[in-house]
Amino acid sequence: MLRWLYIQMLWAHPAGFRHRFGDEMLEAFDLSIGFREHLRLLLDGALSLWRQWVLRPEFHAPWQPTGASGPGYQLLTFQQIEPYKPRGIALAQGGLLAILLLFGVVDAINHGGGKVRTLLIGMRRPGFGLIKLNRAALEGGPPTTTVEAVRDLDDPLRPFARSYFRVVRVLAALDADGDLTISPSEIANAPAALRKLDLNRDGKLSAEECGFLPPGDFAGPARLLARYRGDFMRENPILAALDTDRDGVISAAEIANSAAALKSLDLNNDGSLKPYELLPNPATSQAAGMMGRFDTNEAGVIALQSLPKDDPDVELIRRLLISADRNRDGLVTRGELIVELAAHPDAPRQPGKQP
Amino acid sequence: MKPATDDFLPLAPATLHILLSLAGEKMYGYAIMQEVARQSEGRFKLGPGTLYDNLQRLMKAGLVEEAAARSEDDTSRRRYYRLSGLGRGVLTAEIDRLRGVVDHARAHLKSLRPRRA
Repeated sequence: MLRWLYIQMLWAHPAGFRHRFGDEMLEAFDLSIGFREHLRLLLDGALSLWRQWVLRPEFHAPWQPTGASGPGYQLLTFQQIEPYKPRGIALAQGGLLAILLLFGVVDAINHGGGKVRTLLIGMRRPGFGLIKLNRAALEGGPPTTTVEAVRDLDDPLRPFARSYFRVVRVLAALDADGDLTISPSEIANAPAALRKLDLNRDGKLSAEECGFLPPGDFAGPARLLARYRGDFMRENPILAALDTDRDGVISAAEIANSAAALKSLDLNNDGSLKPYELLPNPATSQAAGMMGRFDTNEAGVIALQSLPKDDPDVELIRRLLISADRNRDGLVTRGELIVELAAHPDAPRQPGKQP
Repeated sequence: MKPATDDFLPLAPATLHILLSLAGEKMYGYAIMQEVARQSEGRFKLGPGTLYDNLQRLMKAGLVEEAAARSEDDTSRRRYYRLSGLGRGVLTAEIDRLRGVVDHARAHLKSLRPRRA
């Protein structure tokens, strides 16, 4: 222990002094016998340390081997920060370690490794800012071939889908390659991808884990927040498809069955899910917004009698709701509202807004 | 310009003991420590830190220089040190100075010695 301390103390000396006298000081320590003697040398070393750093600044210059003076020597030598070479055995051990590390990295790249693999081989998915290229334009062409970028404008839904995939974390997790399409292999891998979203490790996915963000300044009753959560899980088709029992949570069983559940969204039966199959129905979203605005008693219906009277801005909405009330019971359900909005996409959605 | 021997006087006790140890023959560090302990009959123990701090300064000042190994057979990494000409001159001057101090002290003490009734 004392020897180890003494070595550390030697290492703390200025490099020039340490290189020149360190070995000899350690030899003197080793040749000394007895605990008290070692303790005395330790104290002597501490004093030496203080002297070297405080009283001998002129000796702090880098150490040079004996006989290294003279202009000829300066011309023939390299300037080194660390003049001592490591021992041969240390070099061999370092080489062996480097080879083992290299094999480890190659093995991790070849045989998975989860997040480690992602770190090792760089970005797992292309960034949204990357320009997609038309590979067909490159193959077989001369070196001066003009590269064609794929135009996102081909699909008007893609710009919106980009933002939507970021908000709904389930979609971001499922779309491993970031191409805004859930491919058959990504559908098959859905259970594993969804389990990665389970941050609290309770085996199921809450609305928050799926991407729901409560309003930052929300100070309403917990019941209202629960309703927002339910709306989020209901209005997003992917979540509605996964949450088969409609309890607002994607349970462990639902995660395990997610691949089959996702196939229910495949409207054209091509095996993959495109943005138009994943984006929420505008009428559904608008209906949710109107329910939140006018269902003041949170009964799940909008009572026509409860609408503000003598408000010209609300009159257009009242007309829409009256039209939506198919059974004429004075109450407009969410379903009735969705049907009405889908049938009249140009109808006013907010008070004061003309179609 | 070569420094005068008097520039180094008076010598610190540790410096004096080290120069004295090297006055006879070249020595390596641990042997100097042993020799200092022997000279002072164990009353002055030099630690490696103090020894090499002094050696560093003495070599820089040109009083001590590194010597070749004692023999061809000595393949250890020990370094040997010996007095330079300047070092020998400084040591001689210091001893002369100390001799003067001792003579003066003796004469002074003699005059102070109480007379017997």
